Amino acid sequence: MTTFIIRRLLQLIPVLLGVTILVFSLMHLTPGNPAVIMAGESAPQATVEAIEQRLGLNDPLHVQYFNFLGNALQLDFGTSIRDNIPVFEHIQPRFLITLELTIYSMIFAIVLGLLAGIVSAVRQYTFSDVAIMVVALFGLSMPNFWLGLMLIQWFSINLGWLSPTGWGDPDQLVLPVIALGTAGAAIIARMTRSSMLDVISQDYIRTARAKGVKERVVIFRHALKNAMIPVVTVIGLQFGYFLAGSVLTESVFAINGLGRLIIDAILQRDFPIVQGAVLVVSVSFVIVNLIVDISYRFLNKRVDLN
Amino acid sequence: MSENILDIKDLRTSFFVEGSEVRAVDGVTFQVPEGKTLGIVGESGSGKSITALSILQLIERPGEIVGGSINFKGEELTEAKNARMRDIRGNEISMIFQEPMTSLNPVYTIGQQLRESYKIHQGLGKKEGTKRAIEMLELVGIPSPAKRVDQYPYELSGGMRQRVMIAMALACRPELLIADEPTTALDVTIQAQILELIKELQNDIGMSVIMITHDLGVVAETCDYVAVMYCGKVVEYADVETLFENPRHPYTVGLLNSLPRHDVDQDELIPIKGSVPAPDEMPTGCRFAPRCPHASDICSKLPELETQEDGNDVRCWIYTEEWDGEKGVAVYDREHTT
Amino acid sequence: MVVASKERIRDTRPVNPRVKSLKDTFRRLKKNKSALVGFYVLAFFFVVSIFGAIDANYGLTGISSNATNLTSKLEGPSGAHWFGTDHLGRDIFIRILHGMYITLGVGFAATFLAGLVGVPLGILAGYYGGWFDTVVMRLMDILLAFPGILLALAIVSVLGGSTINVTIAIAIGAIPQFARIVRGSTLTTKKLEYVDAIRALGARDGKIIFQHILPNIMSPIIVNTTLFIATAILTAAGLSFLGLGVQPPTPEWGAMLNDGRNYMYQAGHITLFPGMMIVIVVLAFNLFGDGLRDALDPKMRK
Repeated sequence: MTTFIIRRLLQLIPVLLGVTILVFSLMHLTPGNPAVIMAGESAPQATVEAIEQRLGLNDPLHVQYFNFLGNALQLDFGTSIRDNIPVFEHIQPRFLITLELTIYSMIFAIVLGLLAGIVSAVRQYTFSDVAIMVVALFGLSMPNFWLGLMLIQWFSINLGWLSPTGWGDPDQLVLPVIALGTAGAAIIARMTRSSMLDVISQDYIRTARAKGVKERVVIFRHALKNAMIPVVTVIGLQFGYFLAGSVLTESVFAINGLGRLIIDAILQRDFPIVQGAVLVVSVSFVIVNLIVDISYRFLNKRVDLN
Repeated sequence: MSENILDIKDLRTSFFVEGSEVRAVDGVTFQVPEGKTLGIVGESGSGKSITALSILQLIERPGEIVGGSINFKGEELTEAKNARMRDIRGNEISMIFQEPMTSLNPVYTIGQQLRESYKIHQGLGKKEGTKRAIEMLELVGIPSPAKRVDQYPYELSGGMRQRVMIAMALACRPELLIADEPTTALDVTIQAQILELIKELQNDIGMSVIMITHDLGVVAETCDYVAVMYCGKVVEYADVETLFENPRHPYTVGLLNSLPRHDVDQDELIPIKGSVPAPDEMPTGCRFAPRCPHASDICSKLPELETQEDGNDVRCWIYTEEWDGEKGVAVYDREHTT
Repeated sequence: MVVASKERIRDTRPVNPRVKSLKDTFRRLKKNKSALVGFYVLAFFFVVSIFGAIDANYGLTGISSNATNLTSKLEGPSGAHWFGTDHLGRDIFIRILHGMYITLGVGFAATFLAGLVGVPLGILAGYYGGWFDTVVMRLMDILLAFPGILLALAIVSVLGGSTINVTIAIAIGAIPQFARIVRGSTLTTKKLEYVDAIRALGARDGKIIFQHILPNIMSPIIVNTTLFIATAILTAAGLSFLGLGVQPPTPEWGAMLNDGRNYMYQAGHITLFPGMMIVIVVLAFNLFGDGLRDALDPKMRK
């Protein structure tokens, strides 16, 4: 197990290096002089030169990359082109909000997805099963931003129950969490159902029933733990989709999270912020996947050797 | 004759697939005398395992028990409530399965799975349950049980796992043990050990056993009585001596002829001709007629399971007044196997 | 004990196991009602989108998707404007009709491009293994480190928003998915006995790949393609909704939602209909893809 973790950590190094190279290249793949683009076409030569100077754009590329990498390791992503405030200071409070949104949505998706998936599997081919799977298919096919708009239309505009914008108060949390979490809940429900159906037909479930175990205990104790093994991987992937998907949700609900920061920075051509924010999201995703991978391996260890 | 602990009459279990009914168990009748071992023999698909699962009311959709009676110590199990059935399962009637590799839950330790029985049926806590679990593991011959109790199934060999399954089944000292091909998946040397173990424990606990197998060798070694099943029906029910000395049903004879024997000179084993009919091609008369060397016109009608003068039962027209085939046909010739 | 011998005598020639005929697939697909519904909806939309594309570019109906009419702006659905009008008085039904080929086109094109790069990469990595496999799969890992819409977002931020750039951005993000699935299937196929046998008979790599590996891995490729088009459509709509994708006044559905979001208090229908259309199209692809998966390979269910 320890060897596995170490090997997995070592594998991470090239991936993270690749990620930084890609993010670093963002600015340099842009057609034209990035300094001019950032400063704006009509900016005076002095401004352009100042930006070039500050970002070290005149250094050879590899020097620029190693500077970028070295600084990024210390959470220094440079300063914003617009206000000279360090990128990290821009990112940190925004990231916490996005993380909050992501985690609440994950909880929503996991609870709803697992429950729906279990009910569906236990009542296979009944009305509830069909209904849940139809709803899940819709959930899967719905853009989260449009769901967000519709939720605002019904619950904020028509009914006036919940706040359509912002983040922090309880009545501001509900709609964004539903909007962001629904697709994930649908995916988890589908996965849970098929995994549960797979497990329920296994011999050891029959053994449990032959022991006199109650049906409820058979489902929740004997079947669910086994069925969760493949679901864990899906949940890990969902975390990434939620982090990225929050870009859209935040835009719909005017939440000042990392996603909106990225969009604004892209529109304002504030590349250091784009780079820093994209890097933070993908590194978080990679780390969560590592954790999921290790726990999957841990859960699966007992099953695999059969 | 001793009391019967289990008395099954005309049990019918069917599976309903795409609008058609498959009669997996089609009117099975047999008794298990108290303290004795009944063997159920038959080819795969003859309904042996479904019969066993029916006894414990563990038949799942699309299967259903559609008729008959299962009488366990005077109690009708087909009418028992779910809660009562859960009480019985693993406590009064236990079952061990064919596949030790997959019959244990991979994500729980041996101890956790053994303790569960004690918790359900005797309300024992973790500490007491673990103690009993270790005792039980020792009883079934697992070395260093105190260590094994905390291990996961994947850490045990197939034979060890089957011992654990037996320990689990016997945890609450059941009155009836149903062993569904308990040795089929194991190595030959392990097979003998497991059978020996079941016999020993049967004597210790004084329980009755239903031994389901397709192996007549196992029957000869372990059983007192035998029910031979073919296509969901019992075709012969006899004490084990009679079955081997004087088998009546042509199918039983066929099984014996295909078994290597030591007491007579044999040039070759004689297989039964043809194969088990598919569910949708099931003959309406005697199910075995198409493969039977003695089949006659009357075999297109279904014979009843009838008791003979020695108390054993057989389902074959040859032993009835109505028989219209060759008189005095030698169904079994033990010196010159036909 | 006699157990009827079911083992057949093995044919000694190497046999391609993909005898599972096309007929059989169709039979199973036809039995799957939801897949059929998905297929018919898609076929219908396909025809409609061609008509829409012709009408948008050559003006058959004489109604332009960009004809503004400020006297009839923000009107609800009516006989004259089936889906109502937007903030500039443009007919939403016409805009949806004219935008359909963009939505479908971006979805198909992005998926096709991704397959064009991802499938060969996956086959070669799986077939040859070794350092090439390691390098390719590490590169794919890097791309996969950018979840969901993030990679497309980053690429579009560099390239700028346009229909072509959105297509490219989504395609790049989808390459690893194709490469991974194809590599896995190639590895499984490569291990099959008959491939060894063919190699032993002296077949060249190119022949083995095209005649034996490729046909065997078509099922996962087809299923993945269908399901990915759904994702691509969602991503494209998302980028346009953020104002970073297809640019107005092109009647792209995501961009239309972006237009409508500012008028939700006065005219909810502007955001209702384009979104509903996205859901229906994506749903149809998902239904059809699920059905294909069941029909082509029941074991692949997941």
